[in-house]
Amino acid sequence: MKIEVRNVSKAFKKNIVLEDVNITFEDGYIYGFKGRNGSGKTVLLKIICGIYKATKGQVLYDEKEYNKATEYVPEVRALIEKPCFFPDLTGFENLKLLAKIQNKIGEKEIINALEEVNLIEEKDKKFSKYSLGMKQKLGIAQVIMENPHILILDEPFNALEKESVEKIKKFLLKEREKGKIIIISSHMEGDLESFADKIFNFEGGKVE
Amino acid sequence: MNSFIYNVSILKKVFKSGFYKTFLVFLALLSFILFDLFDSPVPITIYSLRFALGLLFTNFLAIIWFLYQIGVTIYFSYLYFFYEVDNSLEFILLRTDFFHFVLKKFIFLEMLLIVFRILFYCFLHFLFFKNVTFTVLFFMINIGVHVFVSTITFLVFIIFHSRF
Repeated sequence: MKIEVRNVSKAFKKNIVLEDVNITFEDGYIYGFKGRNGSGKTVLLKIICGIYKATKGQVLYDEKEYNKATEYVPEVRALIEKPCFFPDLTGFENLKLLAKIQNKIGEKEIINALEEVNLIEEKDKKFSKYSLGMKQKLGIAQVIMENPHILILDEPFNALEKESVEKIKKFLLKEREKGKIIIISSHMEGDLESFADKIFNFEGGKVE
Repeated sequence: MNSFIYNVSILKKVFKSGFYKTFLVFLALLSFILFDLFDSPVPITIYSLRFALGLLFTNFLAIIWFLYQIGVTIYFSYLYFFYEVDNSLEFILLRTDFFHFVLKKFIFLEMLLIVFRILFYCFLHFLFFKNVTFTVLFFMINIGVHVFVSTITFLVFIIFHSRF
């Protein structure tokens, strides 16, 4: 699969957030988006996912442009900004609810995802009782549980302890070996350098 | 069943996120109306208009009461339809056709509104049947107005969503 971001610009009223961005994502790579807060990383991730429309340009998945109102991009899962789940349900129940939408996986796959993010022991705790790090882990589990081909993670290591960060990085490297496309953003120095294959720097709406 | 649990979970979250405060206003208004009803010599027919939420407003309190209920319906519909926009939209948007998804939400809300309005009407009927005349026309208006405003809110949501 190939994702092409072609001449994408995005402005909110007169505030230009992204200007003429061109990036191609291919199978088997981990791509890093680096830049300070507000540099446009999250906006581009949202455009790739179809949450925002580009003011100019287009995003193509294998040469096809998706209309977010009536279609959804297959094989993409994302965690953008802070994950929001239902506070009265447990972590496991929240994932089960999302998994039921497509009904592609069962409880076993959900458990596996929770294991991968080091959250298996807290799976029966209510989401409202989760710490910031646990919420983040559940968001990542939501991304990986259905074995998607494209994984998009916005600041995934925020609030995570070192052990979990290493475990998740190891998991993502394994996924890359399977030929998946992984896009990760971070504003932290050194977060991406150790494992991303290509890093794009975001500054003033431009991407280098 | 899954869709039902999902929608009920949204309703619970919306309610806890501040919507419950509108009930405090509701109780205040209800007590004003009760006070007004039992302490005033106004003919019963006027109350029939007031409680059935008809389009003819008999006094200032009746207008406030009517606008309050419309406001609550709009506010609740807004919170309900925009829930995903403010809460990890990508969880849903990447798993299903969003238009189809919100259409199901819309149907759920309309059914809920109709059931709620019927129960609410019954509650008022039970409370005031000695003082107030309840008619089928007002019963229909009572439901229709709220279904109409929630539909408008839904259309606003669709327009908003398609612009971004």
